[in-house]
Amino acid sequence: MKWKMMMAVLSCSLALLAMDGPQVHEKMRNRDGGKTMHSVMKMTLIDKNGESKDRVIETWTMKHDETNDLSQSVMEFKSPATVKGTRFLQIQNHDRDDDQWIFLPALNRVRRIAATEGNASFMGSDFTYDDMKLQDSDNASHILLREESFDGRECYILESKDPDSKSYAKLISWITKEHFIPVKVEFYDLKSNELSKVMTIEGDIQKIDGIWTVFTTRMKSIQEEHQTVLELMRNKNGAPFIEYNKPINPARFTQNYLQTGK
Amino acid sequence: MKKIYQYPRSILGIIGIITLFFLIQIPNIVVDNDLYIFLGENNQAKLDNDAVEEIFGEGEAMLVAVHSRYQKIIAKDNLRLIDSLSTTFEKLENITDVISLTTADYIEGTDEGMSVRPLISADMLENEAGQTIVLQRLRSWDAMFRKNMYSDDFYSTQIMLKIKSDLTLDELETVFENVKEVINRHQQQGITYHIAGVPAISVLLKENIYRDLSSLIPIVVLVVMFTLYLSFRRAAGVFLPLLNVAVASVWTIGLMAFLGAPLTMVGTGIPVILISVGSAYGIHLLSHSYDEMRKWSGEFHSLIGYVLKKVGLPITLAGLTTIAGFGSLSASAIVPMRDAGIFLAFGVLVSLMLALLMIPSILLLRSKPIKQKKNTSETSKRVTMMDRFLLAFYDLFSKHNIRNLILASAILILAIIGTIQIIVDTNMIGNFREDTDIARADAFQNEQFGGTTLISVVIDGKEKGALLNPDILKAMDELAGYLESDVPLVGKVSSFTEFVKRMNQIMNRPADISQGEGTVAESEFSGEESSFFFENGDEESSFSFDEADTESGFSYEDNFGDEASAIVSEPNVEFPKITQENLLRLLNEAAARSVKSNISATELLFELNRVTNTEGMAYYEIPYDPAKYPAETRAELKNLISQYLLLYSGSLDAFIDDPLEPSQSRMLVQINSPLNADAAEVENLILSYVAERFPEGYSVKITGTGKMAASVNGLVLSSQSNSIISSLLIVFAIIAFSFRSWVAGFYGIVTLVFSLMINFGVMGFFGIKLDMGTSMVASVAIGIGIDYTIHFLSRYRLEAQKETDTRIITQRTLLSAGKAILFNAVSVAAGFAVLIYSSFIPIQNLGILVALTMITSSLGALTLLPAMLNTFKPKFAFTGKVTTSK
Repeated sequence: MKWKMMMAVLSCSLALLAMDGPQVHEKMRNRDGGKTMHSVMKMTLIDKNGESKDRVIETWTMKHDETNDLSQSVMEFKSPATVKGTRFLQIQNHDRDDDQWIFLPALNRVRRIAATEGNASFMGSDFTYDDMKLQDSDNASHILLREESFDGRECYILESKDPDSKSYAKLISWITKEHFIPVKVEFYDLKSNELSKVMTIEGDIQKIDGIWTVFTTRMKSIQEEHQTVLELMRNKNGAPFIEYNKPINPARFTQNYLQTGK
Repeated sequence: MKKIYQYPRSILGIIGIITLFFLIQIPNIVVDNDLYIFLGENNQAKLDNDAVEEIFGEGEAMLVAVHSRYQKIIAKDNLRLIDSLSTTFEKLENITDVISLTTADYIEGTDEGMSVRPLISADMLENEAGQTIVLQRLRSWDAMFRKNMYSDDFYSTQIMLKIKSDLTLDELETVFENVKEVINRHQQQGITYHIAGVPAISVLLKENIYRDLSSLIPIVVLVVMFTLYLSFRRAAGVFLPLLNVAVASVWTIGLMAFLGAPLTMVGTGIPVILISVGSAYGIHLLSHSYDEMRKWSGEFHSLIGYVLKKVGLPITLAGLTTIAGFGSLSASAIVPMRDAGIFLAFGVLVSLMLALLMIPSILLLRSKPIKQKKNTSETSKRVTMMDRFLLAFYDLFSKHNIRNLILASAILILAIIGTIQIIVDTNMIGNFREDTDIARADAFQNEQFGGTTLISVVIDGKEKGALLNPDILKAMDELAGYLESDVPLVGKVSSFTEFVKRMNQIMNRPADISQGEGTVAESEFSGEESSFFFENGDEESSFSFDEADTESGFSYEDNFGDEASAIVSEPNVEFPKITQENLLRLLNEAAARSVKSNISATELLFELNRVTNTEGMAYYEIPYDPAKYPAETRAELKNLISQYLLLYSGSLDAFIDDPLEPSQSRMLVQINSPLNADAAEVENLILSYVAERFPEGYSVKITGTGKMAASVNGLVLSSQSNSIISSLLIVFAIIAFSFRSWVAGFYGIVTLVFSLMINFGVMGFFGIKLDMGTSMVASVAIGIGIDYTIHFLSRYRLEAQKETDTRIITQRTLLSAGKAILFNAVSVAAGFAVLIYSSFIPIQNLGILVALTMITSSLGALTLLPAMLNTFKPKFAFTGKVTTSK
């Protein structure tokens, strides 16, 4: 679920037309994220005193069902050292819950995880599994509030409400006209209707392998004064660890691969 | 001084303006009764608690216990009720989380891995058979659910309401009202509810503060009016002293509001005390004015001047000693007591000033001369009755000097015996009478569930990941076990180790792992693999991305294979299977392993499951023995624990400071007794266990409301002794100065010490606890009680100048000063006795004990004092000029 979120903010598409809320949403949802994606990201958790903790995660994502827009992904922890080598496999399913497996290197075992996470925090970060649901839900309604410039980019301001959401009353998204990427999303608490979290994209949006890509995403929890920064790792030369549409062996998305790394 | 009285209108005008100013401040008064406020800003226990809450969040919650009388709590109807309650509570504003049977998650091992699901699913609410599953699930993880989700008899459950932190008392009150309203809508036959927990107590304290203020003030006003009427029998005599204290109360409460000092439980006594104490000054001035008026023939204006000159000094002296008594509380480390002392001293100062300024000004402004009282015959008759009483009193007590001294010594010894039995306790629930809902709710929770007094044990390993160490986790787990099974005061312990044990059990649950069975059909994949070389070496910055390869489709270089293939020694642990042959042997072995002689069926089953590794029970432990796991050393097991934490996905932040590599952990210990002394005992047991059994390198700190309450205890004791010593010293100095004799100072405080000892003796014998309310008694008693001594001493000395026979001196002193002393003591006692109607036990006790002390100190002044004077004949009493009289 999580890397899907990452993918959503990292990928992009192109279209420039006067349109209404559902159309903007449709454009955003359908923008090209590549058939496969492979990246290394750093997740930094920052508490209210400014203290931070890093985790480094490598992910592989691949569409396995084009018609239903379903993908499968593997996520591997590189740091901290205590969880290094831990791998998650998630396979989205059309008509049932996603399949999830985990490999714990210290136990040398693969185990299936059957969980209804919902609004649980992802790895102690400010992202939750539900955060992207609203964008995906078929029951959600989308209204184009206005158009304005944000951070030097022309944006559509979209208000989305999902009657099925258990976390949020609504989302307000600033979606770039150029790439249809949400560069800012405000999450409003379901119960209090108050602003509970804000997600922002920082820095450039560049084309990598022909796909619009963001490099840094920040999620801030207002009440807890806690934030999480997701950024693409870069090599010595400053090139980001991300690539699209490179073939990935489907065997990577198996329990056997989790166990053996081969 | 005299000149001031030439402008009575200006005086009254200024007083009026100031009163108006304070009057408009009063609506701004804040009511506060956080336990924390009692400790002040810099108290170590409070600072520690704040620091811990900063990391782990608040431990306190509102607890709703649901008790079903006729059927088990897991019965279908009851589960539906709990479901309905939970979903309604979830919708309430400012409730962030509802934890109940129907909202809790259940984590268990499956053949393939683990599953996290709701503890109770919707179909179980419809299905009778669902009950068995619920029972099995609850029993399968006792450490989590027992005394939390169910009581031992299964007739009660608990719904925990997490409340948004930093709510104002008003917002908290709304939450509480809403919760009560939801409960009222869910009232039904055979179900009782109890609301407990610190948030509920805070709200109820506030409600009762308002109730007290609105009910006690009218009663004390009536009592004071009655005494005033008895003594003056005219409207002005009732009206003026009452106006005096009313204005003084407005100034005092107004000043509190102006300065932002909150009104606390202790503060509810302020107006009541001011009204009963402050009226004395007006009474003195008026009674002398009326007395003189009867004889006065000159101009009315100079009459007031004469009265002021005659009684101004003694009234001031009486006021100053009272201010000194209350003022001694200002040194208290307990904020509400300190504030009460300061504002009471201020209020007394204002009453005193008003008695000397406002009352004379009003008298001066009355254009018509005061009518002479006609019914003088009645007045004189009353005086005679009083005289007769005093003479009888003299015959009975005051003339028997030696007997009085012996009697006093005997009382003193008894009092000391009582004093050493005094219990110090300041717990919040103890403020409420036993018959109140909150006290009942608290008792119920303590009996059926973990207990409402919380302490946090914070284990700090300083370094990142220090709390992954199996050694410390094993020690923590054993501490939790020791507290739960060997310390009856501890109802429940919640520890992070419990989650490690459960995950270890689940992940090691025996079942065939479907190895290598791909979920995606194996495709004939011949294309180039996506890859870049990513290396997480020693330096974080050493990631290399081979750009040469990028151009030409990626040479696949995978470095993770290494770790996975760096093969760990696979453990080879065998568990016996139950067969017909070995069942009895296994049962016998299991029973033998129990330290108890009569092992319960539950324990036997637990042991059997453990031995046979049923449901992975052999792994319901902290991973500790490397031979049992794929690890070479114990240190390697740290990684396993960290990987388990990954599965909890950051949901353990109430217990650990980092989701993966914790350096600190909090253990929540619930104590099933409200007494501070019990919390302190548990704390000591924990600390000595830690000292003996915990590995090196970990520091342990104890915080929480239980700890803070215990720390209030120490403060109550120290502030009690400080205020007694400082007020006795001040009083000693005042008497020594006004009689120009150190010996006089000594005589002055003897009767006070005597009545204080009786006070403490009574507290000890009757089990009245020394707390925030009762520890104010001494200061009040000294501040007011000293007036009786001064009054008696000065009169005695006056009489001693005219007469040498001590018996006649005593008799005359009694007849003159005795009347005023007794009258004043009775009226102050009556005023304080009104506090019996307070909702708060400490305030009730304060009222009773001050009333008692007024009686004992006045009687002491009339019996013990003359006995000592007559026996030892100190110089100061029989020589020298009169400097004071009343």
